[in-house]
This record gives sequence, structure tokens and C-alpha cells, in this order.
Amino acid sequence: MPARRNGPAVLLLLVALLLAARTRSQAAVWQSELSLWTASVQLAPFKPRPWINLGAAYVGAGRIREAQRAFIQARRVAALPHVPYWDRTTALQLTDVNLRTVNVLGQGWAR
Amino acid sequence: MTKAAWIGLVLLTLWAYQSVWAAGWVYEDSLNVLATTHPITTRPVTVASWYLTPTPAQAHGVSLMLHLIGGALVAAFAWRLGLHRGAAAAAVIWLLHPALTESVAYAASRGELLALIGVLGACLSATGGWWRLRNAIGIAAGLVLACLSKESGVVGFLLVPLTIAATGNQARPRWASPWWPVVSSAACVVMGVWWFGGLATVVNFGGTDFIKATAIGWREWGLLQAAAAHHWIGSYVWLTGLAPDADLDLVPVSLRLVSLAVLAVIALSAWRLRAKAPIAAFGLGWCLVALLPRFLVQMPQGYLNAHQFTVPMVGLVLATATAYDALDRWAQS
Repeated sequence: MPARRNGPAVLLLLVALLLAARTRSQAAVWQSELSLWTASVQLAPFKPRPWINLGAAYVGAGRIREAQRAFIQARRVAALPHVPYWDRTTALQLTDVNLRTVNVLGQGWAR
Repeated sequence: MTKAAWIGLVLLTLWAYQSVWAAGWVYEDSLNVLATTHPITTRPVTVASWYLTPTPAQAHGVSLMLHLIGGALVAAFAWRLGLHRGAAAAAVIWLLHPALTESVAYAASRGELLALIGVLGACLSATGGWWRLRNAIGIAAGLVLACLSKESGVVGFLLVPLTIAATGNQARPRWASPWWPVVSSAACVVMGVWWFGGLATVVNFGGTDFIKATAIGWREWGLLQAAAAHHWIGSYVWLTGLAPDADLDLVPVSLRLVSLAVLAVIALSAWRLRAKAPIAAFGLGWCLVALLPRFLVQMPQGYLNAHQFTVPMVGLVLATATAYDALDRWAQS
């Protein structure tokens, strides 16, 4: 029965194509800071670090208003009860520095 | 698989990673690749490789080349374990699985690819008779490469004895007791722990300005790492959740306990399959053994992430390739 004999090879080919397509879209996420952290905040919207890094990416792209929004969101998220206190402390410190820098200078940030 | 199919697989991999040629530096690349000013570190091989690739295109190109080498080694390892039909499946899954995108497309994580090559090189050498001088040199060289590429390479000292145990039914000279590699590996691990300042220092490795590793209890740490391991095993199966910074703190305690139960089920399955499907059992065991150090070394803010899952994932790929091997045998029968 050729169908049965070729079945595993066909299955492997289909798996290869599926994986390749998924990897291609995932590799594109790693293309730039903006693409990486935009995808990250979608997958981890209640974690402060992706929002801080997204803000930094916006600053790098010269999009100050969006950077401010991201840093403010990082502050909000850092206050959520599930965030461990050491992450919260780090996040609040970084967002304070970043917001001050962005507000005053319009550029520059810390991670 | 024919020669043309192998070439097709390489071309498909290059197509899947086409975007890396135009990618820039991201995340901690600037802290690692660009900011490392001296080669005397705990990762000299990785740092030296960064020196040789100062531009993003060069860095990503080298990482992609290392990924292709890793794919060839995974296939060769599967073949040496006896998966003559499943070796191709192992190569396909390894080269094209999106869970490895972080290791390949993120230059700062290149140490994982190098450590993997070292670990697989050592384990491949171990399958051919560890008592032979040529193989013993291969094991030593692989382990040195792994450990000088990234700290996680130390799992090689666990995986080489596991590989020897899994392939231990070969004829060997009388003096070559199977305990030799176990004792040698244990001695290397003990000496390494001593070198780095003792057990208390090693297991409380990571601290930040706001938290010391000792401030987190073992139960809390174990459950968090179990949730992380479960997350990446799930990503391997379902191809989802591939975040560079997964939100594991959001996982409630009840689900962390479920994660721990999942790991226990995997361990139990490996034990129960050891006679019926030894390579699948070996693969599951490999995954758990490679994860073990992450449970022992505390790094607050450093839960297991995608690129740290590179070496454990080899075990899952071997288990999957075993299933494909069995399917192909059935289809051809």
C-alpha cells in the first residue's frame, strides 16, 4: 500500500512546512527592539519589564509620546499584586528614571 | 532521507531564518556582544566568538551556522542511538522548531548553541565506547567546549553518564567498569563546585540590588521553575507562548503544583518506558536531567527561558523522533 508506505514521509514534510512557517514569523519578532517588545507586551501584558523595554525601544525610535505611555503602563503593571517585590522595586526605579529623562530631555533611558 | 532532501531541509531552514540577515542588535546584545571588553570571563569561547562577529549580520550568520551544526549533531546522535529512520525527523524538528528561534536569532544567547555543540559532541563520543582513547578525548574536548561556552554546559557531566548508561550494552574491556564515567563526572562536578566557592555560593548564584537568592525559599523557587519548565515543554508541543520574557509570576500556586505533577509524570513515564521504548525513555530522562541545575541554582528574576531550554529540548526531540521511527517501521512493514 503506497499510501501507508509514504504516509510518514508526507507527515514529516507537512510538519516541516508548518514548523518553518511558524519559525519564520517568530524569527521576524527578533528583528528589532520594537518588534521584539511589541510582541512581548502582547504575550506578557502584566509584567513590567517588557513595558519598560518597549518604552526604551520607542525612545530609540524617537517616538517619545508612545515611550511615555509604555513607561506609565510599566508603573501600573508593577503595582499589581502578583509582581514580586524585587521586580516591583526595580521596575519602579527604572520607570521613574526613564520617565524623568523622557520628560525633561526627550531622550535617553535606563534598563 | 536522500541527499536532495537534506539540501532541501537546509534551504528551508535558511528561508525560515531569512529575517536574521536584516535584524539588528536586540535586548541584551548591547550588554553582552558589544560591551564585553575583555576575553577573560567564565564564557571565553562565546566571548571570543562575539569578538569575531562585530556586526549584527555577521553575528546572526554565525549563530545560524552553529544552529545548522547543532541540527547535524542531533541527527547524528539520534542515528547513533539507533533511530535510523527517526534521525531525519530529529533534524527536521531541531532545525525548524520555533522554540529555538531565541537561541538562533538572539546573538547574546549564542553560548547555548556552543554549549549544545560541546554537550552533543561529548555524548556522541560516549556512544562509541568511552574507554577508547579517541572517544575519551572527544568526551573531554566536548565537555571543555560546553563549560567554556556557558555555565549551563555543566549539564554535560550528567548527560554523558546518562548516555553511557543508555548505550551500555556494548562489549568492553574488563577494567572499563561503567562506574568510571559516573565517578569521574561526579569528581569534576565536586571540583567545579569547590572552585566556584562551595555549594552555598553556587546554589545562591544570582542576586540583584533588591533581592538576595537566599531570600527565596526552596519550595517557592522549585514551583516557579517547574512552572517555567512546564511552559517551555508546552511551547515545544503547541508552538505557542514563545515570549522572550514569559510572565511566570502570574501563574497561580495551584497551576505551579500542576506543573510539578507534569514533570513527575514525565519522570515516571521515562522509568516505565525504559524497557519497552528505551530511546524515548532516554529522551525524557535527558530533558529532566538537563533541567535539574535550573532547580538547584537560584537566580531571582532569572526563571528558565527559551534559550536556556535548548539543551533540555534535545531530549524531547529524541522522544518525538522515536515515535516517528516506530511509525515509519509500521508503515514499511
